Amino acid sequence: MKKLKPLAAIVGAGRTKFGELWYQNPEALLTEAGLKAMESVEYGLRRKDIQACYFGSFLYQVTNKLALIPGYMSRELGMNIPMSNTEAACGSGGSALYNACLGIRSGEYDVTLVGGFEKMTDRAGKIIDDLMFAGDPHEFDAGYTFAGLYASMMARYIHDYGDSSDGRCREALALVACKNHHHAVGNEYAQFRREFTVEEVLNSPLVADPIRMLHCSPVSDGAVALVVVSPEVAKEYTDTPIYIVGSQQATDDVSICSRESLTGIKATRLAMEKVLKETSMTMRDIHLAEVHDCFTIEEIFFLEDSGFCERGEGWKTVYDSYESFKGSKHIPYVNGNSELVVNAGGGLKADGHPVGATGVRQVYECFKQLRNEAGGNQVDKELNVALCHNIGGTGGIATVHILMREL
Amino acid sequence: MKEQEEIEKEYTVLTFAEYEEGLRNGKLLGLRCASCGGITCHPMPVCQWCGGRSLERMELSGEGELATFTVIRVPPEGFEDDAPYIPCLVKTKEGPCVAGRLDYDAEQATQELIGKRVRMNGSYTYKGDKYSGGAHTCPVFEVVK
Ligand SMILES: [Zn+2]
Repeated sequence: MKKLKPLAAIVGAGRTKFGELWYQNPEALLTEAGLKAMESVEYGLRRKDIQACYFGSFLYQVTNKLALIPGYMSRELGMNIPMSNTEAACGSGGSALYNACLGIRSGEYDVTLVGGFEKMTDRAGKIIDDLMFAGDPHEFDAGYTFAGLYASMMARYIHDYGDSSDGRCREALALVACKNHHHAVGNEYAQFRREFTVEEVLNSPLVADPIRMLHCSPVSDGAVALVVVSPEVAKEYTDTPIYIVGSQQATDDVSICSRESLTGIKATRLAMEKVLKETSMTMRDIHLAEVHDCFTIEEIFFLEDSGFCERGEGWKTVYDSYESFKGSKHIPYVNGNSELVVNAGGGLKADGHPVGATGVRQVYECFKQLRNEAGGNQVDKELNVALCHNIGGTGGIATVHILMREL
Repeated sequence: MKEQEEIEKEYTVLTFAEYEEGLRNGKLLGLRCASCGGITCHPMPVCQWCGGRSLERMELSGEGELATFTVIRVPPEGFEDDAPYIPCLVKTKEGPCVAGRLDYDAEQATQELIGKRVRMNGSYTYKGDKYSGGAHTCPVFEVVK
């Protein structure tokens, strides 16, 4: 692999716990994550060093009855610099980082703060139709919920590729949840730090057939922030910056209805093709991937959309890998000579899914793992290259980043 | 200067309100593209296949194949009385895939339904609530015996 030219570097990261944080308002969560990110910078960061902020969130106007998050952050962080908020449903956080990378790549900024946040639990049951803002109103009018849309894709996947005779495909779709909950046990910030058995997943209540409660990521509150700088100044802030070497995005129809396939995400496939080309990598070069597992089927889609597995084969890799590695601290996916740890901190499934925070949380997890700073949850193998995959809605947008410790 | 309505017609040959009115009258309306011959449904200002803008109204047969479905057990607000119910996607004979409801016993709905022939047999109107954009209508399909 030839030496890559980094496009940006991460020098600090901070996050809140994910879960039901009823005692805190959304701007305070974002401020907490932002301050933690700034205070984590090894050689210090003065607030006046920051030239721009890029935030990501989906629903706060609806769930928290406020808007213009830049104005709140200007007050809470004591800054009057340019700030924006990106809304791309569940892909808001990844989009905010993508935009920050553009700001740095353009040469306009050297030091930026990137933050993602969401506070959803206050809405109780109403959150079910709030989340359908990430679908198409035509689907909502037919009675679809967000889980229902993924359920329809999962049903078609099982129909087209599953081995209906022995139920192993359905079991594999449950094992994604078991694995990610297993990975979250050592993650002190995770919403659910407990194991679930495959029987518990398959016996949990049906939400939208064939999706059961334990196939779904939870409703969560939380915020995450990163200090993202130009490669030229990175070493002024830390001896171990994590470099961003690829940053790409693609979009597709908001509705699953008129997509070319119901059993994969075109936006992921296109963004992955672009980022692997940008970095001259293949999936074999990636050691760790934080993948958008909003529902377990989405993690299997990623394995296929990224090219790690052939189309229709993802569930077999999940099933066989779990059989081979269950009991180990992190359960990797193995396909031929390729080995990939997916969702080391528990993913959306177990770490939690405060929608706008998720894309930034994925990068936080990779930053910690690549710096060997994940504590009790550190992956027990040499990690140098990590990938973050964040999608919005049912695949209307996909953003991917590739991070490296040593170039 | 053109009247506002005329300008809008130039971009919207079939409005969404007209499409829904069609559904309530048992018709599945769409648009035929002069550039590629493709059919667009639900209506948009452009052809869903080629992006073309030369569109004319047409009526779809309402027949197609069940692309996929789900059974909603945990409904959104406003749909509680309906649950369990079956939203579905139908790949129409004419090409486009549309979202609707399947008129079928939710407790009997299994994977074997995927790929079955279906036809439109009515419509369903969601009344809307104070948070939504008002009432909307979708097609309802039945499995062809
Ligand atoms: Zn056309």
